[in-house]
Amino acid sequence: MLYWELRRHQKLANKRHPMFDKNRFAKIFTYLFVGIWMVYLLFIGLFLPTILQTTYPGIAPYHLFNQGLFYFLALDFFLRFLFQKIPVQEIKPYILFPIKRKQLIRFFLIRSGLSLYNLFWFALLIPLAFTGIFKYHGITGVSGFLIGCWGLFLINNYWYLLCRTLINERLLFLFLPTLVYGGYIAIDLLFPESKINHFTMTLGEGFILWNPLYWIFLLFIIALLFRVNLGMQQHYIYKELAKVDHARLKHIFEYKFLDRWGEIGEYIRLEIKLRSRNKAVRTQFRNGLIFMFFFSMVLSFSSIYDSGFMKNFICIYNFAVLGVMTLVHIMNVEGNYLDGLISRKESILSLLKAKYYFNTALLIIPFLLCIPAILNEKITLLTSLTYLFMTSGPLYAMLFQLAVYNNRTFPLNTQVTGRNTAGSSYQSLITAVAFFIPILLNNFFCWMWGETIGQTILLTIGITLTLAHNWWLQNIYKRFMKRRYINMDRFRSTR
Amino acid sequence: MNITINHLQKAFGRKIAVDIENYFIPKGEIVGLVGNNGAGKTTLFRLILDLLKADQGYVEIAGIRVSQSEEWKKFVGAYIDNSFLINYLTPTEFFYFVGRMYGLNKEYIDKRLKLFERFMNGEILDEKKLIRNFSAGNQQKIGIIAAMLHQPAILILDEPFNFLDPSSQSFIKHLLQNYNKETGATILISSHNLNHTTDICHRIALLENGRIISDLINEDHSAEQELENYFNIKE
Repeated sequence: MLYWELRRHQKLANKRHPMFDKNRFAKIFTYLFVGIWMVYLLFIGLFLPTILQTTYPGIAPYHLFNQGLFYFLALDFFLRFLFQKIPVQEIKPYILFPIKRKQLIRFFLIRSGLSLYNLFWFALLIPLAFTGIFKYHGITGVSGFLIGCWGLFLINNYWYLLCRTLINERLLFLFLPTLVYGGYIAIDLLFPESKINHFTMTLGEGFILWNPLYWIFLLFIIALLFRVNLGMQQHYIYKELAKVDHARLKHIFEYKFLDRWGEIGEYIRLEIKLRSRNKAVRTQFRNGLIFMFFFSMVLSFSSIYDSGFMKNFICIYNFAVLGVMTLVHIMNVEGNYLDGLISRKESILSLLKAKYYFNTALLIIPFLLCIPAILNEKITLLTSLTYLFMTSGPLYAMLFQLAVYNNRTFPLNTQVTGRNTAGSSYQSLITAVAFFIPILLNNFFCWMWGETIGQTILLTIGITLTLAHNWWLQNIYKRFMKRRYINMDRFRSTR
Repeated sequence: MNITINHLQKAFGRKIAVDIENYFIPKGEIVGLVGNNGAGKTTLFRLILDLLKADQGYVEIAGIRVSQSEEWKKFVGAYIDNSFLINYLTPTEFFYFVGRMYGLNKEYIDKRLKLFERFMNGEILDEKKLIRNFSAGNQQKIGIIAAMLHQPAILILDEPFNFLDPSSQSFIKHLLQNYNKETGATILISSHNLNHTTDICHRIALLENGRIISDLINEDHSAEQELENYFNIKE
């Protein structure tokens, strides 16, 4: 009864979400994107067993696939960071009803386990099972393999929820998945003969053969993670509800050097404080910096992404990741106090300019981080400058357009409970476009006129749009003001 | 500076939130808006401040249509709710931020803040506490002070007595009266507190279902009886 009622609420929440109508177009794109991926996975699943059998004729293909299962789980785990939310985010409205808190959390945990996302990889696994297992073990083998894999994804699901909740509290907890997945992969690569790298192969075979020991093991791990999650989510709910923030700042930085830039300087000061004093914004910003640093390091010191496309991808990611992660939500946090800002003349224009200067100034960090890659001759100075200006020019010009359309207020501090802060499909689309358009343009221009001329053209485009920022920001401001009534109404309704 | 309301209409679905044929607030007047919940007071304020789009009609401040120009913003100060506060700043930072938006320098802001010292009661200018960590009453005070910081010719406050302790309520009444006398500012407030409203307002507009059903001149509490009758307040 309670479960159905909560499920109905969840459906209504999705259906009546302020962004639902607006994003129908982008939603179609998202479904299309997912559809293409499914077809892609389906083809891999169909042909992988044949490829494996041809390459390694002495061994059944499912053994090889099972051996790589852990890599697959690692990929699945990290993809969940992009798509999956913590279930307790929706618990707050029910907390004072005479319903046991444990019961509520249990519902959200069960719902998370039954999520269709846990079946996403079945687009690959089903054809793989039929082409690679059926002829050896028939339908029982296929069903054992598929159900067992579903169990493994359930483990990943609950393991992710556990890690994500802890990571939201302290970034330090990233060591947990790093230790598990990184540790396994490191052992597998460094000691190929060790027993641990046969673990998933044996496990997979156990499922195919319906060996009860493996099923008991699987159910035990699922039940254990479910129980740990139940306790931990309860703890964090208490913590969140009991939180009374009487925190006082230890140091106040005035950033007096910004005084010389008048109103824009004042807004840059506000940008700095926005990022340093609000948990949700700070986490997002810090994650962006970590990603940026990570990609710079990969670009400079690793050879795993040295192919043309990946090198370009990593390079643009290096410059764009921080801006994309923060600017895609432009105005979402300002929605909390927009009434106050807008009641002052042209303050939104100053805010936009301040955001632009702040984000552009930050590009110096990836540029400096790129220097080892330039010295190692992995990329040229021209490539680095091209992507820097492609970011400060066309990419930011595109991302800032979202200032006109974003109209959902994001909480500044809420992490565990409260409304979700996941971006809209529209924002996801812009993010995807932001990463791929510069690469496509780069490839096109380089293909047409060679690398030097092609990148010089891109650099020119980048510099031109960077210098023209006043013009396009004015344009965005005018369009923002035209839409101000719609936006303010939605900001208010989502506060 | 005056405020003119002309054929102003705003509806949310079928519900009429505001429907005012003509209303004129001359310079230097303190006008109170009273009415039951849902009467349209806050909606009217939002329309005056161009935070909502009118379905019909317009509002002019000093002859400027609020939806067509931003020039009026320079001489208007307003506080509606805590969405006017940037809550991750300390009050001092917020006051400087607001002051600088109006082109005021630090010395002038400090001078202005001195006038509010008693109102702040030694609790606001705490250098290291963020606005979000203050009580609702102190947040209300911060919003009111920020609205008055640049000495606006028009001051608009929604429920200024809300959340305030009795002595602060009394203080804000005198503050508004003195401000009106000293600067000749036009002041528009809304309140559910009839005593406070009749104490300080020259004129009181009674709102019902978005319409001004009574525009009462309030000389020596002359509006009090009619308001008490309307709200069924018995002795």
